[in-house]
Amino acid sequence: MGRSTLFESDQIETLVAKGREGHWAPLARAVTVVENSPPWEVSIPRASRPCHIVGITGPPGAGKSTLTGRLIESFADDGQRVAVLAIDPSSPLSGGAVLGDRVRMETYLNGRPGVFVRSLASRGSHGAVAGSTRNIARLLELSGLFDIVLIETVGAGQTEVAIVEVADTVLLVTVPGLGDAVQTIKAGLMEVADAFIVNMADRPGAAETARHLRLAAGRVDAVYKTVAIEGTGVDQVRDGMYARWRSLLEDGQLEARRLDKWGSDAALVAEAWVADCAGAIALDPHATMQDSVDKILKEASRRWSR
Amino acid sequence: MTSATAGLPPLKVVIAKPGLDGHDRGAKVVARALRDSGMEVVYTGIYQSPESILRAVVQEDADVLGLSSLSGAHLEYARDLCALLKENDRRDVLFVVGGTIPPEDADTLKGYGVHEVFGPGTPTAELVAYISRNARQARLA
Repeated sequence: MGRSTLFESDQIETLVAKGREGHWAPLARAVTVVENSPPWEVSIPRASRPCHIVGITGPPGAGKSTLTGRLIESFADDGQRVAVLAIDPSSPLSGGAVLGDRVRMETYLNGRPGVFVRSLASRGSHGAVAGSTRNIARLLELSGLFDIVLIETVGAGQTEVAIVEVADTVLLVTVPGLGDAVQTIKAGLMEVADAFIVNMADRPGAAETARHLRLAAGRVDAVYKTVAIEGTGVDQVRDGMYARWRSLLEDGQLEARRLDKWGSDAALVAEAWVADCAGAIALDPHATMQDSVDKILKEASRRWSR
Repeated sequence: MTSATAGLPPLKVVIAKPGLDGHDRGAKVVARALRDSGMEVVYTGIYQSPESILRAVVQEDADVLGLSSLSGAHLEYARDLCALLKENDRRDVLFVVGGTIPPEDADTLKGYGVHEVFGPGTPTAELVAYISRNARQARLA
C-alpha cells in the first residue's frame, strides 16, 4: 500500500515546541509535506482541543485579504493566537501561481510574532480552496499553537462552496452594488454562509445590500458592515465570531458539523485515489463504458490493498 | 515542464522589495515570468524590512528568495538577510538579487551569501533557467 501516517506524535511535539519559541520553520516545513502529499498518504490525528476554523470567502476584489489583515490585528491584539491560510488560483496553463495575499497582510504581521500566515496555490482544485486545505487546517489545529485559523479562499463565484467542507464558520464578504435582491436568494454560496460582511460599507448602497442580505438569510447569524481598509466594524465581526464559537461548543453543533465532514472525507480520498489509478490504466477506446469502469475500479481496488 | 522537474511539486519563490523603494514593475514582471514557468510565487509587496522578508521565507517554506532593489541599498539589505537566514536555519534558500546593481557589487553580494545577481536587461528566461537549475539542489544539499 502506498499509504502511511505522516507525523508521529513525537514529530508533532517537536513542531509545537519550536513554534512556541517563535521558530516557524518546522511547522512551515510540515505544511509543505502535507501540501505536496497525495491525500491518501496523509492521516492527521484529531486534535484534543479544537480551534475555530473560519472561512472567509466572496468574489474577487471584495476586500477579503484586507479584511483578513484587519481580523489578524483584531484577534491578535485581543490575545488570540492566529493562523491564516490564504489561497490564490494556480494557472491552468503553466501550473504556476502568483500568491499576492501577503501584500495586504504584512502591515498587520509586524510586531505580532505569534501570527502564522501561509499562502497556498489552488493546484487544480475547484471550489475556491486547495485540495490540501482541510488537512493543513487540521495540522495547524493539532499543533495547539492557535486559537483561530482564518482561511481566505480564492475569489469565489456562486458554486464555489468547498470552504463549507473545511470551516466551522463561513463568512461571505460582499460589497454594495453587486446586484439586486434576487441575487441574495439564489442557491449556492449565499446558502452556505453563516454570516455576511458588507465590506466597503462607506459606499452608496451599503444599507440596502445589508437589508437584502438580512431579509434573504433567515438562518444566518448576522450581517456585518465593515470598511476594512480603515478597520471600521472589524471588532464587531471578531466579537461575533467569539459568540458563534461559544454556541458551537455549547450545544454540540461543532461536533455534529465536524463528524458530518469526517464522514465525507473518506469518499473524497477514495475519489482522488480512483482518479489517480485511472490515469495510469490503458483503456480500450472501443470497450463499453461498463467494462471500462469495471477495469478502473478493479485496478484501483487491487492497488489499494497491495 | 522538463523531465527533470516532472512529478516534483512546484518551486515556491518569495519575491520581495526591501526598503523605501516603491518601484515594483520589475518585481511584478519577474513574478509573472516565474508563474508562467510553473513556479508558485509569493509576492510580499513594497517597503519590506529584512525581518518581514525573513518571516515570509520561513512561513512560506520558500525554496527561493528573490530580492528586487532599485534604490541602491541592496548591499545592506542583502547582508542583513543573509545573516537572518543563517540564524533561522534557512541557509538552504537559493538567494538571488536583481535590479540596478552595479557590476562591481556582485562579488560583495556573493561574499555575503547571495547565490546570483541579475542586473538590468536580464532576459527573464535566463532567470527562470538559473532558478530551475539550482533551486532544489540548494534545498537537498
